[in-house]
Amino acid sequence: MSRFLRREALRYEVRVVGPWLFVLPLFVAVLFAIAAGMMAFKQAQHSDISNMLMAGIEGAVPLVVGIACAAIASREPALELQLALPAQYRVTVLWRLVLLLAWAALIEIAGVAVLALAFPWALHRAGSGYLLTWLAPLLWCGGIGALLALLLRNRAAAIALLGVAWVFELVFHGLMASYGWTQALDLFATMFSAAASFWLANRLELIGLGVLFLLATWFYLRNTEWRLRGEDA
Amino acid sequence: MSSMSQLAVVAGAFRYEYRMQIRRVSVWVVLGLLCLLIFGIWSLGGNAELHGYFTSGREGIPVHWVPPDPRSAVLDWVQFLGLFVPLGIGLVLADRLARDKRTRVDELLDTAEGSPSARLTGKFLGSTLATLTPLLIMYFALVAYMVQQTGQFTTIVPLAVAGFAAVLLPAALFVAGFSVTLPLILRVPVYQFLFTGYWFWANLMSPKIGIPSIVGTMLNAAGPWAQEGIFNYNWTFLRLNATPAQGYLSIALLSGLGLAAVLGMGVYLRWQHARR
Repeated sequence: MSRFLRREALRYEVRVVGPWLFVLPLFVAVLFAIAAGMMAFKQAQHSDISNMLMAGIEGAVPLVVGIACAAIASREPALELQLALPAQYRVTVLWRLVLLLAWAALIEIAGVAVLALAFPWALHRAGSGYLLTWLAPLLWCGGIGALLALLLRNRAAAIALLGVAWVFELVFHGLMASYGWTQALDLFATMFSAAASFWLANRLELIGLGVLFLLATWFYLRNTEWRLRGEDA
Repeated sequence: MSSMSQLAVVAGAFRYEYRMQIRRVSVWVVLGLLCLLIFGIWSLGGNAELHGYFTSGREGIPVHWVPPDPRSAVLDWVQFLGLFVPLGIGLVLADRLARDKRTRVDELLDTAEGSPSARLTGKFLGSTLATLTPLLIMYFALVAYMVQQTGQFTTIVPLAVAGFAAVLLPAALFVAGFSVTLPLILRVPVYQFLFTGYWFWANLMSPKIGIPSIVGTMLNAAGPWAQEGIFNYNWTFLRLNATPAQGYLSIALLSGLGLAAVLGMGVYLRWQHARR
């Protein structure tokens, strides 16, 4: 474990994965902060500003993390070399995914902290909502992005499914909140149904599914030679 | 180079790209799952429209019989597909040209005869039509079911063909034009994120939200102008009072912009080569 935590090792992994992939969630967070700032400047209603911020925290940052996880799981310029190294390739991939998820979590925590301290009205749920609003969709999107990229052996196809699912849930949010089994998959439960009784169950189910997807990714990568068949390898 | 051999370059790139794309299992999986999702939404009301139904009684409105309306069933199928399928197609196509760069065949292709524009056009048409092939099969599978249920071949099939040509085809050409070319300047995942956000912002975001958007303009690629103008059928949340001419104009505009993106990128590539 310690060999991963050395500073040079961290810097090396970020460089291999691509620093731009780590810039992406930050860029998205800043984009939404600017949009909300502009709305405040134009004296938009608090509820509209709050929705914009929630769309960033609960929606856009997790989406971009899912896209980045699909990229991490599917791209490895030196795959043949990786497979020949004593260090297991799956450990390397999981470590990169964890790095990205942790980085995105830091961005989310910073965003929520600023809002909770300065603009508490902007958050749809306090208390456990400070954590679960973003953690649940973040893990779900990240997990499914990585797993789909491996299963479909193609990054673009994986991101297509993730992107369509994301927009579908955003458009049909009323539908997602109205059936028992769709409630479990509702990525935007805090934005649209913060007061609903299923909110906590929904968050825990999303986290459970996200962890399950990451576990499945881990087990898929046990058969390292499967990776050689990927279109993006 | 003569225009004849330019055409041969387009045809060659088309054939190769079509065959390469249609053999990708992931394209069939993505389009299959997408159609299944949309079928789920359609089935919530479509079967009732096909066979007629009794309304649930509400205060002031007694229970009454709504007669079958196969026309609505077909146009709902077109409409729901139009909301999401172009998004899926655009995302799937985003790695097509960027892949040439990654596998380093682009420089090899540059040494071959034929302008970049001709090759790009062939690739664009080939990969777009190949991605539309699974959609076409699944689209007409449900149309066949509607015909089998109602026996109204002459009402349903021409309408379904027109709906596909007026809503889904222009939307696909539009998004494909940008998805094939823009990843040459942007990284694929960055483009895919921006495209997903764009699709919601420009096509599906209700104007009631109060964020400036092009959702009510003719650049809306989800098909509201064609649905209302040509088929006189309400599109989910917009009331445009569109005329048939505006419907046809929107088709021409979307298809033309898709092609313009491809030709524009061809010009850019030629300029870039000249500078090398």
